[in-house]
Amino acid sequence: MLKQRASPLAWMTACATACVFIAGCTRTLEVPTVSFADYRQKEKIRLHVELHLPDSFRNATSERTSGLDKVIIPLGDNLSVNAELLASAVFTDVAIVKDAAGSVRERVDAVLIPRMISSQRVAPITGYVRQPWRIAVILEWVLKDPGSNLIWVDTITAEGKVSELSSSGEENRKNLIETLIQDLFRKSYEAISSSPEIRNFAAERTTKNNKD
Amino acid sequence: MRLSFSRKLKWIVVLALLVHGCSAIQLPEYTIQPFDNYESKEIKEDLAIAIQPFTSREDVEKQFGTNLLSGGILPVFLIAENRSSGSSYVLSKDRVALLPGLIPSDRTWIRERLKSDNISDVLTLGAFASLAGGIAAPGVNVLSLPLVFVSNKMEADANAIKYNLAIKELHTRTVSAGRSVSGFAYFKMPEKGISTATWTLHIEVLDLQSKRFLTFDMPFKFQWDGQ
Repeated sequence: MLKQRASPLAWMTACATACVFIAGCTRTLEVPTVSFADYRQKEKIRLHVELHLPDSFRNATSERTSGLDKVIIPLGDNLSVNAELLASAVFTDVAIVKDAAGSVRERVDAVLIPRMISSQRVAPITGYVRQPWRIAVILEWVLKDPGSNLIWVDTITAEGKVSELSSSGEENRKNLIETLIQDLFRKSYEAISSSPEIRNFAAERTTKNNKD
Repeated sequence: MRLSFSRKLKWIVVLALLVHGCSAIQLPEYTIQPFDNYESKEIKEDLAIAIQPFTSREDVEKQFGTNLLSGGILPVFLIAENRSSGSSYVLSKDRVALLPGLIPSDRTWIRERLKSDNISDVLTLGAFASLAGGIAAPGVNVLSLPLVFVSNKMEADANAIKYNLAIKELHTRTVSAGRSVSGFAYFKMPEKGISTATWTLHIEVLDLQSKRFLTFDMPFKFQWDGQ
């Protein structure tokens, strides 16, 4: 019987294919940084606030696994930029702290800490399964006094959605992120600025500062 | 070329599957009922809490698109209404536990258990990955071509189910005066059945002013026969 030996090229192709199947493929999609500052402005809260943006927040991502593929959307830049804009729109004085230890400086009234709890995505698996492209981000906001006592906490669930996909992947991603950031930070602004707990704390702090 | 009846039938099945695979599962939003409509409710000080355990397969499938109970998950909807004029409370899924039977008056052990980071009766989202991915395959996988589309449809559905679970989940929130917060907590049930027909949802809510916990023990009927 004639035995046919596989060529080295065929072996390499087979190995490469096997590696792709075993290891899967990780892709990171590029997304633009979107700035949202279109807040229906309420009176700013008179507090000197430190906004803590730890590494985990600045490097946050949304990951979705499809079969052996993992697709990552970086969210950290968008979250950080918009957290700064939001804090400046809500409070009279804001200092940004990016180092992890983030010691509370003197004359700070409160510390604001955002944390991305999770992110989920729904995307068409193939061209045969049509559904809107959706992304959800669950973001927790905590406000503490300099002694680490809890003043207020809330968790925002926001969604970005693209119903009509265009032929440009870049444009689709931009629309997805834009709708997400708008929803996330509009809801966050509303939650923080309308919180009676924060307004009461600010009033007490002002009274105390005036007495001192 | 004329096709035989059996071939025509196969093509009809193929086309039906293709069409079926064109949209992922659509899941409804949960409609919050008026507080008094909930069967299980309790009021302490000015805080009112109601729960709705999803103990029937039909209700679970309608709300979540899959039978979570068969995967050992019990979803419970919670709503907290702050009826005070000035108090504030914090409701967190980390301080909710589901326990078999009725809870004795000495609750120290529950508090200790809730404080532990290692033991949480409430599932984290990551635990759903295997569950949502393991939806039973429809019994039509005899033709290889449509199998691709069925598989895609299943994956799309699994993603939609996970997404739906995530956006409905209860997280840590302040319940300000005159406001309410709500969401679902998902509990991992024991693999084996438990003889009790009564379960108690134990909830601890932090009073932001006094820094003490208000406890709610809310019993409900549920026979858990295991997975």
